[in-house]
Amino acid sequence: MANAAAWHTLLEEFRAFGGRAENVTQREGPYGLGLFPIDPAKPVELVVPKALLVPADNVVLDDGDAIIQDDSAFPRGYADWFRRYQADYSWGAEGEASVTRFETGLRQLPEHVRHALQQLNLYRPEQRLPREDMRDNMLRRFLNSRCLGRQGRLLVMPIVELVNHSPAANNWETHPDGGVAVSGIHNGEVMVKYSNADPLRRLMGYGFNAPEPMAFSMRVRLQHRGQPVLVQGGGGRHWFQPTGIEQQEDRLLVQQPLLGFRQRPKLPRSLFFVACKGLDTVEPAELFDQIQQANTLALVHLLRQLEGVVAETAGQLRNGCLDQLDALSHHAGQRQGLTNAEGAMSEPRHPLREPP
Amino acid sequence: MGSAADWHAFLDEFRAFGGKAENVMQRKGAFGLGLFPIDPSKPVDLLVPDKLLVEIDNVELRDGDVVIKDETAFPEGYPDWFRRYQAHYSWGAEGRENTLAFEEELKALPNNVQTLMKRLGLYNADKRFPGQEPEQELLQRFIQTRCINRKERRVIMPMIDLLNHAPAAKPYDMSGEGIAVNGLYDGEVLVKYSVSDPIRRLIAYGFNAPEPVAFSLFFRLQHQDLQVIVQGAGGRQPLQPCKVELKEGRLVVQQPLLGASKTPKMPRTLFLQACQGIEGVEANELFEQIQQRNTLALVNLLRELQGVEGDVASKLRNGCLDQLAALSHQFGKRDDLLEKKLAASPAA
Repeated sequence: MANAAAWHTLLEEFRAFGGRAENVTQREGPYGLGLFPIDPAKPVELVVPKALLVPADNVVLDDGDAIIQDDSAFPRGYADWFRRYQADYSWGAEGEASVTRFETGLRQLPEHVRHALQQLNLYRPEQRLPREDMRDNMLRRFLNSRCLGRQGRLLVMPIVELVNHSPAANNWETHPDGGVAVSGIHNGEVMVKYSNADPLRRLMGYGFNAPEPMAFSMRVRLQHRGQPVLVQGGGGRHWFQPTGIEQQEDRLLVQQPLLGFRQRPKLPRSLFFVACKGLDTVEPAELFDQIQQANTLALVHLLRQLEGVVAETAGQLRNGCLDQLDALSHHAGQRQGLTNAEGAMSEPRHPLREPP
Repeated sequence: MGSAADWHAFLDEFRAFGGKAENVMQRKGAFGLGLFPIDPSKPVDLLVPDKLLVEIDNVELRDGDVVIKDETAFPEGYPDWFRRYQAHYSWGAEGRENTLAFEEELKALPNNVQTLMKRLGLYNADKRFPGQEPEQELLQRFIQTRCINRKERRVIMPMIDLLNHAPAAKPYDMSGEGIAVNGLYDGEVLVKYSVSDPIRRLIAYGFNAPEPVAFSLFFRLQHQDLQVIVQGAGGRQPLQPCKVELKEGRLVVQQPLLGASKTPKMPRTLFLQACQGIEGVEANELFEQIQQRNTLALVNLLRELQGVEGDVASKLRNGCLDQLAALSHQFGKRDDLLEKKLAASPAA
């Protein structure tokens, strides 16, 4: 990380390209390097216009630096600025080191732990590290954790991607022109909610623990009233949409059910019930409990596998499992109105609070 | 522990008093000292007649030996046999050392772990092992792990108390004129001591066992407009509805069964039965709230135990994981039983 003068010079250049970065400085905080307001009494304003968003597949390594491969679509001088930005504040500041530490830690876990993770579809080394060049793999992992997904493309958001994640923070703001922003008054570190994910998927996707308030299912198989059920795990979808459930020829396929939600504990079961409407062979309450059970047992198994494993990544995984069990437990009761409303809901713009 | 010849001479004496101990010997096994069949193809036969059962209040420590206080009700020579039995095969064999090691490690757990366990009604060092009369307290702890309720008395059952516990084993046979264990055993002779859940088995007996049921821990929570007290504890007959009553404006729920691996529909069914007719309670939601609080408490305990070294800390971590597994064994409900209960209620 460069000094304050260099930081302000970099921001001046960023503004010249059309970006905004007001009242912020980069420094070490509880989550590593992050952005903080210079004057907490004044609002922070960060904007990356659409024209400055860089598709991740257009970022490559050049002699260890993360650079824009094809700079023809960007303002003159932006590619050079991007290279210096990455080297001094992002990939080169601690990005490469932290992603390499986490991926190496995962690869060094005992075989039985990695096997348990793979069974749950939480860890797939061939997908995470598909290329022969390990440094290039690390860059891809890094960019995956720093990008905004939009219309099937991953976009790097310079400056804004330096903001750390908090499950309780607001989402990124999207500007009408397609740009991305973070704004408002921040007492301490400027934080943003990157996405909807549960604790284990946040850890596996981003390399850090966060007490995410919701839990989606992992990949589990079970028998429900004599029929095989495959539950496809996965997080990151919009929690407010009912789960996809499909009666296939030889099995029932359940996609990414939401199983726990701290702020709205009645929602998981309610959304599941909506999804099960019209399925004659399913007893929704029982199936929901069975999926809960299968998830709990899988996490207990993983924690047993991790007992006695001494390593930073093993410690993170233990915390991830405990956070996931915590998030899973947040389901109690159901909302009758919702189960009749065919899931007609939309995501609130602001952090959720349980209604009185 | 004496030699094989001593053991057989000892059993001969036991038989002379009216006891039975056929085809068994004591040796070290997977769970410490235990009883094993001498010939696994032949049945084991153990019986302690009622007249040889010793009430727990009728034993004391004398010069380090566990002895019968009032000998008058027992056959001549039995108190001396009992003293030698305790010295060589039970209290003196490894009972005292194991109990002491477990209690000392529990007391040495970090304060935050102890506070949490106290709040959940699992362990209170001041009550359990205050340390004012250490040997007496140790003996009492040991006796609690070796006795049973029989005809409204709490009694020690010599010989049979050498058996180790397995959740999947048969319980003691209490149907005759004494306490018996018999049958064919491929390996160690094991018996199911009692109904308990993993965390309470550990705290009470000092060992981990994957018990198939989970009862609630102690909590207070808010349900709708009601304050709820969930009184934890295990050990009750699991397939009966728990007691739920309104007391001074609060709802008191006693020992709800929350998980049962062999009958996963029963925990919710029994809870719904227990709540029938109680106004202001949405029974399904309350059941789920109690489940949730239990899970969170165990997760919390596991967090506090992270990095704590020692045998007991490791056993506690295992106990929490076993308890979480046992808690998870609940899904669905038995509509047939619920309809039957509803039809039988006076309001129906």
